[in-house]
Amino acid sequence: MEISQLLKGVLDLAVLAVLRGEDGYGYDVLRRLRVAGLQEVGDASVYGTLRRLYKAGLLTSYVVPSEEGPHRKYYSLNEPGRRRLEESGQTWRTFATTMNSLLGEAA
Amino acid sequence: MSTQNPTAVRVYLARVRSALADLPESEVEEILEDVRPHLAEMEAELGENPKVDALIERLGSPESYAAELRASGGYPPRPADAGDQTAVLKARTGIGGARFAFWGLVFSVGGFALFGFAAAVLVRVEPLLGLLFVAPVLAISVAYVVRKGVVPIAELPEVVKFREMAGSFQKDRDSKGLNYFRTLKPAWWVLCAAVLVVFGLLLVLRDTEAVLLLPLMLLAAVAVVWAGPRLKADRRLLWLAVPISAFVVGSMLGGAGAAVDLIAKRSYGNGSYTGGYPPGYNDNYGNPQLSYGSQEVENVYAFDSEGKPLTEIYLYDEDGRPLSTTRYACEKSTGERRKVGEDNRYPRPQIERGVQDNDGHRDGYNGYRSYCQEKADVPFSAAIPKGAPVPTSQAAPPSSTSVAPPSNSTPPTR
Repeated sequence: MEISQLLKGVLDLAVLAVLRGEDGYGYDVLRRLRVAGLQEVGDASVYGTLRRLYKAGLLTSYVVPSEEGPHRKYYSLNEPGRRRLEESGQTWRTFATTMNSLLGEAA
Repeated sequence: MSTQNPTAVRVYLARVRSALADLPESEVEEILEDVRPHLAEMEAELGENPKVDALIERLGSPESYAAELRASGGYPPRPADAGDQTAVLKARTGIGGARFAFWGLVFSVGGFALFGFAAAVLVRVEPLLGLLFVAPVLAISVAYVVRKGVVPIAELPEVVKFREMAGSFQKDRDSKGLNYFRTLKPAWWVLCAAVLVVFGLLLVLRDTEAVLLLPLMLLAAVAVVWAGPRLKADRRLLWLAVPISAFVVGSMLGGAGAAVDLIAKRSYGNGSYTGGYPPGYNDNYGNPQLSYGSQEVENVYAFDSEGKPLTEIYLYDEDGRPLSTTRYACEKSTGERRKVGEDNRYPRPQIERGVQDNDGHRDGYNGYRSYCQEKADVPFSAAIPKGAPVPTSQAAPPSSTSVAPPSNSTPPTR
């Protein structure tokens, strides 16, 4: 099964999750996802997702000037974002448990 | 990290940007702000002077990158995605025409309203000549609309936005009120026609040359009554009905303005003068002037029944209002006369002005210095007829005016 297909459904949740502990600019978020093991995540998909979450009011952003390169726009999780992360996380866990038990039976 | 030579990044970003060109500028900028640091770092990893191809190898083509951004960011897919270069070009010229037609309509609406307003305020034909400047623009717009229809115009981004705004405005409003206005629509077209005809007739009354204009006004009146109800079926008629409506609105506003002006003048005239005086008979200082019939009266002299001049009298009208006028005095330094106040004490000193030379000769050939002199004396005497005694209350006006044979040279001068 293509992981990229699975990712489409959970990328929002993944992005919210990597911003939970620490704010990050676009490339940060991408790197954290990759480090966490999501190698297949597409660059542009992450940036698009960030914009969509931002427009949905789940993230706030602020710009930090950089001396050595282009300035960086940091995203941070706001209250609605945290709530969404909580809810979506719950949904995911339930779903995963269901899937696990399903697969456990099948195996 | 090296940003010394960011050309590859720039090229790549520029292509992404153009692939997102249909999105709002600010949003595209936000997206690129996220992407830019990433590309800068990637460029640094790729070493000195990386080629755009190297970036493409890592990230895919800018166009597919943009497509991925759209898909994940919830942006609409690119319009006319299959279009090649020529198709894009064609679409552009098409947009140019549509754009002209739309903004031509907007421009014409403004022009018609403005010149209609001007013509109505002045009740003159001349401002309507200004429409000759608007007409060609409207004509070209109409030609486009007739040939191509309104679909390309409806797809213009500015029109889409405008319609969205209008749509949300309508939703916000109580739909009952809106429906009421809808029922008024047919009446509006009739009103338009009526205003056009009345306005045309008014202009003809004012200026017979406007007779040439009357057929045009009648034509417009007929056109608007015909086009109005068909608007829904054929949107192209907007290019006929809307400018005419704008003209009518403009001229109604102008007409209202002119009427208010007229009424204000009338009531002012009746209020501050005892009727019959033409309105606006004020001097440079805004003070009313005295007049006798249609002639300006600069000074008033009074004599008693013995023919003795009265040198200090105060004039009032029938309501006890002082008949104050501007009082002038000499400005010694310049030899000019100047205002020193206003009051109702008469007679005023005569103010003589002229030129004089060094020897004090006045109004001679060598005069160069202007002088000004105030004379308090009465410049003439009056013979009051003893033989025709008139009833006392009526005596004053006829005697002071009919009997004023100037025995002493000059009438009062400034």
